Amino acid sequence: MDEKEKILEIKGLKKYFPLRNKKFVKAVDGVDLEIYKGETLGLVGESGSGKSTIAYMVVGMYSATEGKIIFEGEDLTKNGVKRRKKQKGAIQIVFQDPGSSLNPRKRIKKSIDLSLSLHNNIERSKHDDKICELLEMVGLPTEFSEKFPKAIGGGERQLVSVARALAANPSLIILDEPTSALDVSVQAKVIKKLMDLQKEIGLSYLFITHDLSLMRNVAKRVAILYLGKVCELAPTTEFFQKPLHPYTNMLLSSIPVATYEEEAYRPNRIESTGEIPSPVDVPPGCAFHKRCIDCMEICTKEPPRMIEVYPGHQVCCHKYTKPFENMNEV
Amino acid sequence: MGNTILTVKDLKVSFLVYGGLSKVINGINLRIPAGGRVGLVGESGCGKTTTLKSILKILPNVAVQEGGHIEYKGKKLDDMNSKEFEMFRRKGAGMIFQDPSSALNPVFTIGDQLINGLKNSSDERLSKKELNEKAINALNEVALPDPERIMASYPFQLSGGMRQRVCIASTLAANKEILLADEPGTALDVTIQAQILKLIDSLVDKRNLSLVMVSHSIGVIREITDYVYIMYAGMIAEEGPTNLVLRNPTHPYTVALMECIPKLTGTGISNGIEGRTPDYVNPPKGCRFSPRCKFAFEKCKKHNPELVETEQGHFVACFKMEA
Repeated sequence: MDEKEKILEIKGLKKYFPLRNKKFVKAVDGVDLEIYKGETLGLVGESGSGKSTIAYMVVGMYSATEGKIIFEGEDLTKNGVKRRKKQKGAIQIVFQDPGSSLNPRKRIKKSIDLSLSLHNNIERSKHDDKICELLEMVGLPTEFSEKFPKAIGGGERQLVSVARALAANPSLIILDEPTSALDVSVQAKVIKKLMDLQKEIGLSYLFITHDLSLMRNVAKRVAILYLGKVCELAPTTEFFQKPLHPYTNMLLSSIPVATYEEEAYRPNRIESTGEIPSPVDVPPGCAFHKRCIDCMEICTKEPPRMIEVYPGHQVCCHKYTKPFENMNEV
Repeated sequence: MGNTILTVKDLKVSFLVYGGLSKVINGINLRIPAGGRVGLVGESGCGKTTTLKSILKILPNVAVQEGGHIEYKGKKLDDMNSKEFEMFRRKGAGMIFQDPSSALNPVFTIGDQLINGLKNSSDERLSKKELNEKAINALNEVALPDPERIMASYPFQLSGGMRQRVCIASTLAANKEILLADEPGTALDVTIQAQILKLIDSLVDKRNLSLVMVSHSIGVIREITDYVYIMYAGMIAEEGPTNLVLRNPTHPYTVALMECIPKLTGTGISNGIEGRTPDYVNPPKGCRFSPRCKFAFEKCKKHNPELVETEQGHFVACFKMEA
């Protein structure tokens, strides 16, 4: 994977939200990620783990407390959230709830048009043609341009959001739980379209979700977040074959699966216990140690560091100390 | 399976809406055996929750029960007098809702709400101390740590998973026979959902409850139920023992739905199901799935298919089976 070009690099990214009593909500607490051109990086975590905060920082809705966001060789955090127009257009986002991310009082044409006139240098007279072209690209009938968001279904609305993002000619699209508000039959349609578009125009995706089974089918690499930190990062197939972090194992064994064949892909039932702690009072040492079944003494004192156990497979846990040591075991 | 405790017969429920009458539930039959675990699966808007709510008669005023009836231990709910029906709600069936934060009253403490419920559901008058003890026992039973503190807290001070445990505790504080669970884990994270499902599982076993679980997730249903009804647009598309139906889905809708679910095996995702769920004001004639069905033929667009037994105990409502 090394020969591939990095499109986005996140280094030591932190976001602390101040509270009144001089404490901080540590939403994102030192995250390193890389996204290569044309790939999908899956970001998985429970609610409150900081998935969306990372997305908003990459898009520029939040400024980072610390750390760097390097996009196509340029650091975006230098000027806070202020970015050049080109940089804004190149990173686009699709939000979770298509009902509230489209203006209910604007026709779909208008919503897409705004993105076109802000980010795309084409003549005004050609906008209508471009809108139709974009709608066709996401597989919607061109008559939709005259409709209001309320008149179309949830899945179709989400595709309109994708068309609006495409209007800005992005090279990276952040998909923030794009299908979690949809039914599975509609989700399948939207996902299929997103995957086709990626192949056609070579887009890169940062795909945020809490659904691991979806991630299995969509992402090339997966990063698991827990309380603002990445606890495991691995290529998808490898991740599902040998998950290393105890939290990941708990997560995987908690998924209710629909078919009998899938049972084999779940690790032996690790009973899920406890809840994700508050990001204000993060426990000392490893953030997961209170729920961990393999908790050792060191876990309560020292935060673990990211270790590359197999090539490309990183884990942040005291259980794994030396890289490549366990190679022969599996 | 044992005796039937609850039956839903040919239930038809419509809603008065701006455009006319929205015919949501179009004649469904359910049989809940005593001590059985029954699941209802379907996508949003197919009438799962409406079915559950019509059992307890807690539907909004705009809902009209147009036909059919519900029987509890052989007695129709409609024939019960108010006292008997109250007993059914007290001792018969209790419900857990999807969203634990809106199921609890935000301005009362957990203790107040639990004790209020207990007061109304017990036969004899209990002293304050007894009520308190009972409430604490109920919280202990759902494995909530430090019940005294929880009794004194307000719902907003608890996490989602804890709130759902409180809801379960308050539903089961009085001895019930039937537990109606309406997507109890959907609003929660997967690890918390797994905990809640395990709790329900153990309580159902311990108390020998009959469970009716509604969910849009086939995975959840597969893990907790032993009999499943697949619903589509207010009709039962397929029913049977859970492992039979999910190993061998037969109705075109079930097949398509199973293909849409992302699998851990990583076999990819299908293209989804063409079209949308029907408009209930003017529902399609005949089989309601026919406009979206790949196999639909002439007959499907005219007549309503009946449930046909395809293998032992496995019923499918599709004309394809007859042909």
